[in-house]
Amino acid sequence: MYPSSSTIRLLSTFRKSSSIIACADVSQHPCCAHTCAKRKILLKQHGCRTNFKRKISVFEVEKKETLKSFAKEIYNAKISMNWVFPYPTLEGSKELNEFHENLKPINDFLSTYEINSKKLDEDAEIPKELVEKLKKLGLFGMLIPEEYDGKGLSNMKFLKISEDLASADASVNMMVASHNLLGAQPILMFGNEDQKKKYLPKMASGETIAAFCCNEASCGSDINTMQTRATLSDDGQFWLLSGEKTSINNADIADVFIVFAKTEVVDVGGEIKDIIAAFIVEQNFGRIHIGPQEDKMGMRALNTSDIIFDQTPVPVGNMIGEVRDGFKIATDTLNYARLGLVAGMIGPMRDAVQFSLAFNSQRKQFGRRLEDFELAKERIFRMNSNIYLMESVAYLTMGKYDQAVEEDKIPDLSVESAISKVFCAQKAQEIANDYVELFGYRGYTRNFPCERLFRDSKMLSLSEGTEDVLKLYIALCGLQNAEGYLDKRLRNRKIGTVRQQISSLFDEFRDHRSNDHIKKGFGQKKIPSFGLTTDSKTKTWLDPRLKECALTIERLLLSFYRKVYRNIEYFGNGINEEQIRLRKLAEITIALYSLLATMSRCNKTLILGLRRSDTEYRTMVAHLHVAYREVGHLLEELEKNFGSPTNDLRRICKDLIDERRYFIAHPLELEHRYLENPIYLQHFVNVKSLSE
Amino acid sequence: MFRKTNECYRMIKFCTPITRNSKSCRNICNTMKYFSSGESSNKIKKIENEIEEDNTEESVLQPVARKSIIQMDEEDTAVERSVKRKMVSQNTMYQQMLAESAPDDEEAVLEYYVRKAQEHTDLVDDAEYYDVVEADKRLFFKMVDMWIQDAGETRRGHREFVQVALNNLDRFNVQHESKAYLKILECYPQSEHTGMRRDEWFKSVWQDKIIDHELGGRLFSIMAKNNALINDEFYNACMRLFGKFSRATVSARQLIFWQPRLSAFVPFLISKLELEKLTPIEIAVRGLRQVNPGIDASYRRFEVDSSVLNDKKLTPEAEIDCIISVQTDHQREMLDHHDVTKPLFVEGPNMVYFQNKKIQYYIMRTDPIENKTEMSEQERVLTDREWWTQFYGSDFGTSKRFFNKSTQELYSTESFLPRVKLESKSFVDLQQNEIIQVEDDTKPFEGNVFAVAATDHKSIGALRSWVKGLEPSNPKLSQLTVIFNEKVNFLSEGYKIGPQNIKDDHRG
Repeated sequence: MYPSSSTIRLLSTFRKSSSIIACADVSQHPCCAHTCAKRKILLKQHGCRTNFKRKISVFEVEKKETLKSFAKEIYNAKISMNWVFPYPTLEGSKELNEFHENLKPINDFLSTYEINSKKLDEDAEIPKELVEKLKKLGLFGMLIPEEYDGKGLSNMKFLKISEDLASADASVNMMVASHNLLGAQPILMFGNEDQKKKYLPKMASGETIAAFCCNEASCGSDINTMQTRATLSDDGQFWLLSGEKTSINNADIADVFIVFAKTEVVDVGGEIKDIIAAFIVEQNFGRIHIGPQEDKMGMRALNTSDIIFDQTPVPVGNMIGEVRDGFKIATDTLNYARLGLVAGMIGPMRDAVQFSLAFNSQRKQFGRRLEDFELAKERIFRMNSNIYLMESVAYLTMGKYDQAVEEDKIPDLSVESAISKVFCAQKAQEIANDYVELFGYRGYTRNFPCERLFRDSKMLSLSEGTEDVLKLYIALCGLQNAEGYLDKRLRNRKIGTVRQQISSLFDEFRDHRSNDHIKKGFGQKKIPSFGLTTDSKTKTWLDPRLKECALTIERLLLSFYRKVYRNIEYFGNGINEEQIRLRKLAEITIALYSLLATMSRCNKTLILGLRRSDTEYRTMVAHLHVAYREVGHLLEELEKNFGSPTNDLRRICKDLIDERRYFIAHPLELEHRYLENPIYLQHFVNVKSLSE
Repeated sequence: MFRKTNECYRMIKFCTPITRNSKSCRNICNTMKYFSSGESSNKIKKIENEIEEDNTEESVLQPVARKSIIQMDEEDTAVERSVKRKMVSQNTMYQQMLAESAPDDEEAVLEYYVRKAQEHTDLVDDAEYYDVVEADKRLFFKMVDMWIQDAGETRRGHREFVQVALNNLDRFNVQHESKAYLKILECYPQSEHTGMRRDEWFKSVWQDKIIDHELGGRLFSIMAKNNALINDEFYNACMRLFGKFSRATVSARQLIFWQPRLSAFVPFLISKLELEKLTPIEIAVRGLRQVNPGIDASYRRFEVDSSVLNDKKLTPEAEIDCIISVQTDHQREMLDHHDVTKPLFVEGPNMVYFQNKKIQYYIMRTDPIENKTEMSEQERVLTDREWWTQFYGSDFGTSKRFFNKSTQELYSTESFLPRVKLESKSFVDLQQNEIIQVEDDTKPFEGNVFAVAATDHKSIGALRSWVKGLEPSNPKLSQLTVIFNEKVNFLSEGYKIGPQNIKDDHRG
């Protein structure tokens, strides 16, 4: 009856995930003859999505669905049950047993104590013999699929192995992880078949080690300020790279570099622009200079150094993706790798609890053992529960990546990985601090492993996006996701039809009432809920012990959403510049995500009846108490009139920036006297000396 | 006048028993000896004359005292006496009353109490003023306190005293002390003696004793000139003394509002004493710092050849015969990116006052037309290419689809941090829009400023040497054309000393 799909003419394809098809001749398309409602149904059958605003019908055919982000949806007043529950695990006990068997050679190697962490730290070098032993174990091809001679492990399994490695030594783990996550992933995700076949098998065996070269002196989180340039040679066969990259992991060992550089491109109207592109550069290409190793605070054995590209020729075929894909490759790999690099530190943290308990049982003060002191107990409790939180957050996000692979979806998990990275780094630093404090002054010396862990954990909050930038990213992504809904709601109230205005008034009214979501009423759709209170009181999926916890989380989510709406209503687009407010929004999302993750995990253990489920439940509740209070304070501070501390901060910082020194009077001063800034004094002296 | 005489009568009734006492008169005569020289002698004469003329009142003065007065007045001429007799006869009663306690002239009253305060130096009494370190300041506070003690609760003659005290603040070096002004406000009659009940809002609208209010207003204007810091105590005192709607209270309120704001505009405060020590070049540098702020700015000094100058030469008043220029790093960058085809303008002379000193300066700027925004989109007719891109969302020539639909680019520059883009306007936007619209309508179009220079030269030749001096650090200047645009400022022929320092007679 309908003409075949061959009439649809393919105009262009520019994303791997989706191809856009435009129908040049409208009358040819089957859907155009029908009314609008019918057309929608027909298009659904064809698997199309339409944009009816345009006169020419342009519609996208989506090959894959996306696994929607959970943290972004919180801003939209939605929580999806399927996302959080059930907590991701391995499929069955069979798979788990297989995995443990595969782990045996690695654990055997680690139990021989060949990796002397103290010596590595002092020497600031990983010996080549050790690297080759690691290669034999197959640690360099963990995430590469079996088609390319890799092991093809899932993300959760990878995380477990990297935990074990990190408990042996953090910098060894970092070396392996940065090869697996940063080095191999760009080629895996965006490369051609040729590139994959050429490079991945060697990478899997560890014959070549890859390094990810994005950092520069001028560009950290802001990639667009990159200064490395790529220009086509005269014959059009090579790209010539020139520039300097700083603090690159594995720079000394690596044979393959993934380099990002700017190229010139002609845009509409003859405008010339700089666009970032990604290249695979082998060391054999020549004209690459590697600098000396950096002297770092922590992770000293990890090799990081500068690389200088001096007109390095790269064949045209070695560009990853298209010219314009460079930015996307860099951000996507970093978004993916961010968590994996950090979460390995759970391993050494677990050891820290063990060591400190052993120390506490032996050391005596005031005629008692340390373990009998209440304050020491508090520290150990905090360490223990922090590890629990780190685990549950990290494995939830990693499991979601696996779920996306299984269901053949595109993961939109950049915000989640940023959240869990920030959370893990924060908690790891807390644990390390407690660890040092428990050991007293001895923890400050080099005889004990405390100070090394303290130094190593500092790296987590600095590498792969600093804490502040990631917090901004989290909040802005969430707001951007919700902006359509919020904008519609704002517009309805001001210039909508009568019906819209009345319904928006109801919305306002509901927002002002407290605990309204508990009752059954109008507008349930917009209220975030687990469906606990509205439908039925007995849910099979949730353990009855966790019901109250779930209710408090619901309450927090609702009040958070209200605060988001209030802030957007007041500031509008100006919220982009209100960075302190954004930080607070991000902190609340982090807290909420951690709460949900722990609840989901706790639910799993309670239902399955795993060992020590009672302890888990208690730690979960304790964390809920703390987080509830923190979130409450933050929500109070998000009131629109809570701006006076921020205004003071801005005013003081303006003076400080103008003056560029500490100018407040010394505590010993008694009289007012004006002190010129030394920089200005120098100016005056210069002018005066010229006159004389 | 009528009111004054009435008051006097009232006072006479009150005071008569004291005047008849001989001891008090003796005391007065003793004090008179201090004021033998100058004006003070005149007052004694007046008293004498009054005593002679006014036979209606009982003169109880003893002959001894009269003799002593006459002895001191022998030197004065007869002509003076005749003149003063006329003056005194107009206001005899009031003068007499003042003469009983202290000399009648306001200045003399002050002198009297100063002397009294100097005499009565007592360690125990002075413990009140422990926080005032300097002797002259302490003298002021003590003097005022003594006057208040003598004047009683009704503060007889407070207007005269307040006026004198305000005029003589410099003498005690308390013009910058806010405490001194509070002390002066204490000289007004307090509580029930203020005249009208101020605590009822309805009564506080009606003002009586208007001269008091005027005096209070003057006090605050002097405070503002001397940069004495105001606080809530002043406002409370004003509310008590004058009421909410008085001129004095209004001026206090204005000062409380504006003083911190104005002081925040001047980040580099400098005292007058320090300013006097500075050379004119140093003053010019400080002035330029406020004209063209920035800690990265480079200050330079260029000499001017006398051969280059035109007929115009420096006036004898002028002090800066060289050129001092400022340029920040940001301005240097802007100059590097400036289009070569467009000319630069050197404009001036403009005037700026640094406290009391006038500084003449020139600016180097672009044409303001460059910064003018283009016509609004509603008025503009779309071109074919623009229409195509808006309608089809693809490039006209190549028919490639845009990467970014909103900005219509094939290659868009992305950023790691996303931005929220709402269509509807927020509360803050609506609030600011009114201000922005007014600002846009009244905004003068200004060019980008690249450098500022201070000189007292007015010839083009001198300015040419400035541009030549800037060339080594700004190589692009050699390619640019520079137009000298002479502008006569209305301040250029004004006072060399600033408007603050022009003396208006407070006493008049």
